[in-house]
Amino acid sequence: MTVDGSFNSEQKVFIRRNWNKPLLKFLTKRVNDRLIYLGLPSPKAEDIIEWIEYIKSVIAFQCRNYGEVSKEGQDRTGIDELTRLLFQLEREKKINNYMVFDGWLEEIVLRGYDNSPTRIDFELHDFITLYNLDFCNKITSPIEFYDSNGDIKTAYKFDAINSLLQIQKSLTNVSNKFVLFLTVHCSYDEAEIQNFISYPPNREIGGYIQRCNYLGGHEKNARIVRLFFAYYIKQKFEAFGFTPKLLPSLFYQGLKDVNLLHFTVFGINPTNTIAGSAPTYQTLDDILNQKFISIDNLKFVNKNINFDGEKDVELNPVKLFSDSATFKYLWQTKDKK
Amino acid sequence: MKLNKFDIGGEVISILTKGMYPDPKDALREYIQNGVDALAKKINLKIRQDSIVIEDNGKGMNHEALRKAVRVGISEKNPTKNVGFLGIGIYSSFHLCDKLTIYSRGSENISNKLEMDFGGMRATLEVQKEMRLTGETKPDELIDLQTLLEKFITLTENGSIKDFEFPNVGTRVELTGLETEFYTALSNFADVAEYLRNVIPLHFDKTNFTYAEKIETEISKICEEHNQKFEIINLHLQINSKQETLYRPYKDSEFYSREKTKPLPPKFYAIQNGEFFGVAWGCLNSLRKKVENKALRGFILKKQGFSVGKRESMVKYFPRGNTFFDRYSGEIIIVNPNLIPNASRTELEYSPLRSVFYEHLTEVTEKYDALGHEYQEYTKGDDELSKLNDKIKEEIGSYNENEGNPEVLVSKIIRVKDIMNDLQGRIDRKGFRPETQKTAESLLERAKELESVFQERLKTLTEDKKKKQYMRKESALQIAKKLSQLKITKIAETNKYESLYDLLKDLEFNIDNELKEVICLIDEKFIQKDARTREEYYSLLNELKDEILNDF
Repeated sequence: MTVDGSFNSEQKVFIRRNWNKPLLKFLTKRVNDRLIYLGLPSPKAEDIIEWIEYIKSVIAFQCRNYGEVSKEGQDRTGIDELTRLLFQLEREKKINNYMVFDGWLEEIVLRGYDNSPTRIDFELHDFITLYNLDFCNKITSPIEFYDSNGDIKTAYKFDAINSLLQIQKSLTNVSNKFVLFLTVHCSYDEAEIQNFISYPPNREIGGYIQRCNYLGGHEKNARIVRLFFAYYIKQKFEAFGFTPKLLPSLFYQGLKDVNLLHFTVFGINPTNTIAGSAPTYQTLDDILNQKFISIDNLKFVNKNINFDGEKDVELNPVKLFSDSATFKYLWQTKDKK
Repeated sequence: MKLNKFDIGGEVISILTKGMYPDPKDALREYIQNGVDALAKKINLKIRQDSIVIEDNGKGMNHEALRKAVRVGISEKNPTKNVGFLGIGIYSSFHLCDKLTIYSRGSENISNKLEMDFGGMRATLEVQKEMRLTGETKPDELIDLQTLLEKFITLTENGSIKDFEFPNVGTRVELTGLETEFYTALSNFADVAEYLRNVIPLHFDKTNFTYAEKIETEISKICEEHNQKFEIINLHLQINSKQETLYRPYKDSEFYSREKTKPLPPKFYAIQNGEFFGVAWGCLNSLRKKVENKALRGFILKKQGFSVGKRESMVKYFPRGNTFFDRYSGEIIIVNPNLIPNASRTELEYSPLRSVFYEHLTEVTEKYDALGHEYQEYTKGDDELSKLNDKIKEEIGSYNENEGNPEVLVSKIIRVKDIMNDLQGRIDRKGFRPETQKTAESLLERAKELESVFQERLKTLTEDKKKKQYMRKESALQIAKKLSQLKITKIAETNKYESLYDLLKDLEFNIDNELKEVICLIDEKFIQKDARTREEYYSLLNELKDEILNDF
């Protein structure tokens, strides 16, 4: 946390304003409406405030003690602060609606209710058009929570994303386009990802991992985490009939110089496909062959590492997406308001 | 006698609100009612764990109106125009939340904010109460109402709220720092929705209730004809993630859920006697049964759309009690400004006009009872007509033109006569609806024709039998002749038969009365005539007996 109490580094603020925001403006036009946000804002909701003109309503998850299992008696200050802020934004008509859940996204989504004293059930009735999953820990870091029997359970990010996509799929009559931003630490050490490295799902992936081993430190980590994320997110999206489009990954410094990765995935549930199958216009190789984008002097730049034939990428996020085959083939129709 | 502000203690606000609003949901009704009185067309009610917000798009309150809103028991509202007017409703959440904040933009297009620190007021009163119990405070030292309110109510300077803080049109009521019990009582969506559906002047459900549109239109029309307005609002309820636009509770399926059916079209009656009181509407269950949903059985009294009392309290105004009342679902909507509900909304306030209203209400309820009765008779008549028609068909279908069994014919005639009696009875007491009366009459004619066909056949059958009997008489004569020509040789065994009839009976011939007469005649003409003595007569009869025994 910075001195002013914010959780944001300069680079994060820059990304929010210059990467996410133009994309949200673009998406707002495509869905012909302001967006429904589901995410993990800080108590000051800097992301929501930054994007407020594009956000219609907010579904927020706010944990109590960072890094601890949720339980009674923990301080609710952050939850109350966020709630007051959203309450005010609603009164000021900047947003139409909001909902704050007390606890970790993973536990609430998977268990079905939050940790509020009067327990609020987790229900989604709207198609989420903007996910901002700013996890700020490792991609496979699990959280622990108490289930309804009082037993400790473990929940993973990808399990929660899976559940969210499942609900999202059931709401595709409302809308079918969305974007998912996901931020994680550029490191890994949990068994899941180690297992993925030791037993890669196919030979190509195994080869890529081997080549990454030539790199050291966070350059290697960034590529392994990107591979892991891209491989699973593509699977999850396609399993629920959503065609994903991953934009190049952002590699930047957070507070205390922690290396972070910011992923952007557009999803669409194409309306005219053969039952259950979503066409894809981007392979895993396409994603892995892209250079990372980093921030230099508050400008986006291609991260200049020569590795495995990685190519420079366009730095304008809107152009990146609007020039893609996915956009050309699937995103041409605007939603009716 | 002169009183001063110290004569009314602050505790009075706690006592009043506790008594007047026993159900936490009553507070929601009060704030929504203010929106309706402010001519709002739409009201949003959002209930979350930390807050309740009631937002309307009505005409709002200016600084002066907000100032006056805090008065206790003095209202600027016109009781003849508004439902809420008692000047206490703003305090209805006194025991339920720590803070009530009202933002409103009035006619001058300036936003103002009123804050009422109920938590502070309650804490002050609580401390006082404890000090009284321990004797630390004397009654004269207790805080008075005026001081309590002044201390804990804040109204911003006129115009000091910036536009962006409250850009809305209308009024926004915020309840924050909710008591846990209050929130718990309001966290069940179905419960709160049901309560509001019954007490708030909502639209009718056009998707699920066939007559929704018709009822709204007709009531408005009748009210307009009498220079009154029928108010309806859109209410959107949200409790945490769940939200829904609420409608009045009437649906086709509430009448009878197991079959896809709808109630009878609504009947409307203006309740009036020179003076217009309001309109009643009611839909009768089309299945001659009670309305399935008990909560919707009968009529509810409403002042505009706000319920006054419960449905069951209206039964006493229906002459036939629950008999037909329970088969209706409807409302008695009062729009007369001079009929006012009491503070707890359980009854109309006592007034001479109230008595006149109830008197004229009975004229309307009698009509509903009569309609119920008539429908009961008519539908029974329909059923009966259908059954009798089937019976007639059955009699025709099972009839054989060559029926030879008179017993079958007699049974058929009895059954057709029963059908005729049933039809005639219901026709005589006008038990068929006018449009089916002719059908019933023609069915009766058909039954009569059928009866005459059966009678005719029976007659034919009787005549045939007589003919057969005559034939049988002929053959008896021939037998007698034959007997007379028999050659009598000897008497094997002499029996002293007193007559030919005795002889034949001894031989076990079956002889009916007619035949007996014939035999006696033969006996006299042919046998007795030939015998000179009784012994000879016995002998002849015995000879005859032998002949018969040999021949048969």
